[in-house]
Amino acid sequence: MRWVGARVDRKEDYKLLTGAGRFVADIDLPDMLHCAILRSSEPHATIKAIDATKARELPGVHAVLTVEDLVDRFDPIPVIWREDQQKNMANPVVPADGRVRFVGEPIGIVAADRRNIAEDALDLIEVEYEPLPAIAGVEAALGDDAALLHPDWGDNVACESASDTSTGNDEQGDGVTELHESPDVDKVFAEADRVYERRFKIGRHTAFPLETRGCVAHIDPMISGQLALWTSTQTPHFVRTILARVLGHPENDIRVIAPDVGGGFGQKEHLYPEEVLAVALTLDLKRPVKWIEDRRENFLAGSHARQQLVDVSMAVSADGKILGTKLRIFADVGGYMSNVGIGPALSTNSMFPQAYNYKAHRGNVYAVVTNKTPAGAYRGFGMNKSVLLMERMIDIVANDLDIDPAEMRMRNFPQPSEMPFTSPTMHTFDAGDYPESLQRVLDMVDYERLRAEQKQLRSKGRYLGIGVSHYVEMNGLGPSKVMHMSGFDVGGYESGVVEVQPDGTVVLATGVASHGQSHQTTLAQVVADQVGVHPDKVTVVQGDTALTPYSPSGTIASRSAPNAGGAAMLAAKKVREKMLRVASYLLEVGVDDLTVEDERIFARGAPSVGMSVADVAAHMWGGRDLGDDSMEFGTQERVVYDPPGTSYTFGSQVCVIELDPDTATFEWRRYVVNHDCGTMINPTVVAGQLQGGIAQGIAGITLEDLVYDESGQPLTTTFMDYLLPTAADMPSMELTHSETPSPYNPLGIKGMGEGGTMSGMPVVANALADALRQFNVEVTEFPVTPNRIFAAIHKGGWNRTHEKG
Amino acid sequence: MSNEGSLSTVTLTVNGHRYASEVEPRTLLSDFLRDDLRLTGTHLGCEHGVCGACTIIWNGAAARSCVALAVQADGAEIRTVEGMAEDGQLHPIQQAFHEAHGLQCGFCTPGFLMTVSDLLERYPDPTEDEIRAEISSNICRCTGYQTIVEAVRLAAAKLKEEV
Repeated sequence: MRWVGARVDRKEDYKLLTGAGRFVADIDLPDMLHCAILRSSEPHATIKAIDATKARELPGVHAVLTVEDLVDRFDPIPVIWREDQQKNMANPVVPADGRVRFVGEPIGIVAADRRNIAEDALDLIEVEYEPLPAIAGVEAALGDDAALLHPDWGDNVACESASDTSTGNDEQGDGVTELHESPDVDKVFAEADRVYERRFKIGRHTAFPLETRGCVAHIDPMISGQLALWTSTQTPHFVRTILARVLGHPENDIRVIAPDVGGGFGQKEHLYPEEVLAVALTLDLKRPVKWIEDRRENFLAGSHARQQLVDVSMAVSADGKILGTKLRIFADVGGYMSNVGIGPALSTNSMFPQAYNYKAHRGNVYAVVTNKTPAGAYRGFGMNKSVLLMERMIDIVANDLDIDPAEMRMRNFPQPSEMPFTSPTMHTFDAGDYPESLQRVLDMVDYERLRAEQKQLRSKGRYLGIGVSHYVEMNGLGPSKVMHMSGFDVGGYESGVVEVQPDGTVVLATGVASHGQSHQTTLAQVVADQVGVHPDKVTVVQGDTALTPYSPSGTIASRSAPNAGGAAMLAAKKVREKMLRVASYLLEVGVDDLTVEDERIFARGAPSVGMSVADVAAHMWGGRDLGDDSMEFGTQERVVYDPPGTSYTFGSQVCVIELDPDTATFEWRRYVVNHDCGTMINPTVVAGQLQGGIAQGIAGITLEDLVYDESGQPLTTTFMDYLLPTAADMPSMELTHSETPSPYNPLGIKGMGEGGTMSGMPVVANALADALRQFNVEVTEFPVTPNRIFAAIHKGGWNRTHEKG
Repeated sequence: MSNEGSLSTVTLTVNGHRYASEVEPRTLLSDFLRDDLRLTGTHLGCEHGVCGACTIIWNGAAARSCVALAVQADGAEIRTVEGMAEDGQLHPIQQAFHEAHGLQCGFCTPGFLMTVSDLLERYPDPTEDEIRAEISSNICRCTGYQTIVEAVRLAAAKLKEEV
């Protein structure tokens, strides 16, 4: 392989560096109108009346639609992750029952000549609310006399699910026949030497891509009648399918185009009500309509993520072997379930046992509704919490049993000879030398010397915190059968269409849509290897449903490299084979004696006997004699690739900080990661994805927190309140890689886009906890901000600064 | 509220070109550049002066265009990302970002390029700590900043070679 594995410079860069990118806000069409969304200012209320008269009369306003105008117009937007007893299977585009359930919920739209006029019009719309008691969090939602967000549910639990090895029944339903032992969890706990129980609180975060959401809808004049939607999305085909359903508009008349997209991280993986409203206006007004979200709206209505209250129990032997675990997860999903429903919380449970060598686990998972913005997918999809919770518990147990935390992990890893290894939640980890991975990072920091240094510094009144963690991550979603069985109601296949054009340049059409992942480069590398051209000669077409094969799940779940990469490789390979057969005929050389290199097909033993890839392609497109009447003209091949298995990436990390108890801040000393995602297409791209993910993980532990007050009002609505990490907040990261190829993927590729969050969260949490342990503070709540650190050290407790009294 | 009647004239130079335009006083400089002048390389990430995506060079210094009004820029010399490359050739700072993989989705990139232009004029030979402190004015959600720091170091080296 010449190109897979190479650090090829990105093909995306020139236009992005010169400001010539085309993001959705950059699109300007003739006669275009600008929208603003009317949003609820109440966390929980019934709408008594909306008077838009003055707004409609404002010069420059072309249309105002509110709940009354819209309530019967659309079918609801489905929740695509579906469980058996789920109460929330779909959500109306605007409240169908006249009730708003979070501040920021869309309840109307204005179209005007300019955005500022549209916003002026919003101010003129009078909404009369009758407030209802607001549910500010999971504990309030589950209280005895809690107000119900959805009265017909009978409670505030949208969905619950469980997995339990005791019942010998995999309720996660991943389709794997259970052939291994199913220990009784209660028995294991009763017989264990020690049992540890802790309650963890994880803050509410959100993806905050630098580009907010937005779309331009129009009737495409080039293709009569076609409804076109340019939107900042990760999943154009999925958006098209759901939009057709919601609008009742024929899907073959809808074109969805993701232009340049400024980040997504899961927030942009589904159709939003605002997009539907913009499309409705374009259908009504027969003019292009543009909606660009501002950051305040993104705070209120872009999907949130991560917040959970979790009770963890761990049963261990006296020498620190994990025997069994129990989890009760209460996920704060906001006013409605988002597209991915209880999925992230189920993933937290499902991946919690990680790859540690034990067999007994029970998980009870509850998706609880509260009066907050709905929570959806965000890089990691609940798995970063699996790792955070497990790795914190291991440290807590290790500290109590006086076992070194790294040593405790070593004692609990399955050995390479014990792989493949199946977890209590039915994940089978294919291969991987976990002890070697962890030892590698321990050696890089000279761990034993570091612990000695920590002791020494402590005697001088200085406090190092050393965090160790290891993770396994499920990605490369996934075999379609498995996805459907686990509740995700979409397929997991990807398709690649490869074509060598008559001049020898190559086109790959793929269903995934890059928003930072460098597909134009990495997928070009994959195709280039097969077809024998330079990656510069391969154009990757993505993002436009009119030009690309259908992708059921889109660019999520760290699946593009393995699945789109696999499809591209297999399609390109078919093209190569077909071209070789034709070249064999034309050159009169046996197919097996031919090779393709540097844009030429030639005989291995006699390189002058050959022809250019371009000439072969031109011949094949030219309708000339191919030497085989059964062969079709042209060089295009299409492969639909359903991966035979999910992939399991893993990594180990050590993080060292120094805590200053007087200022309650810390400095980074080291951050070391070993990462294994199988075959890497482009190591530079992999490193960049890892580093970005680590930042989003670290910040979830140290900085980020979306806070609501007791009345359901959001208190963090600007970047002054919600702190995104800057360069000054981030460590310098030392990365090493091992490559354990995936047994399922034709190139051995595993997914890796989310792994950084699974690295950053637990290791930094453990480093801070290790530092604070020296003050008899145990860390179980996040984020660990300076004011909380200060309160813990000096006042003997966390300071929940946003709570009153 | 809307004050359609009272437009102001703004005359300014952007990337060496002179523009004269009538704007509502409440128009942000960022919106003026993007919507009126169609220079869409300057992006909007927060519109409250924190993320730095809207950073431009204003009379020689980096400035956030989202918290300035177009009328404030009357008579000013503005440079945006569109003015960096010359005759299709990337500026050394742009080239450094490319070589160091200092961008992924590219949305924050124009703002960073402007900030870094300003930074390297004041600190031609910055240390890593100085770089991190100086670029903390700009948010990137994709890279974790490590490759951006590398890009700045590389850019500094390239600019020194030019001199």
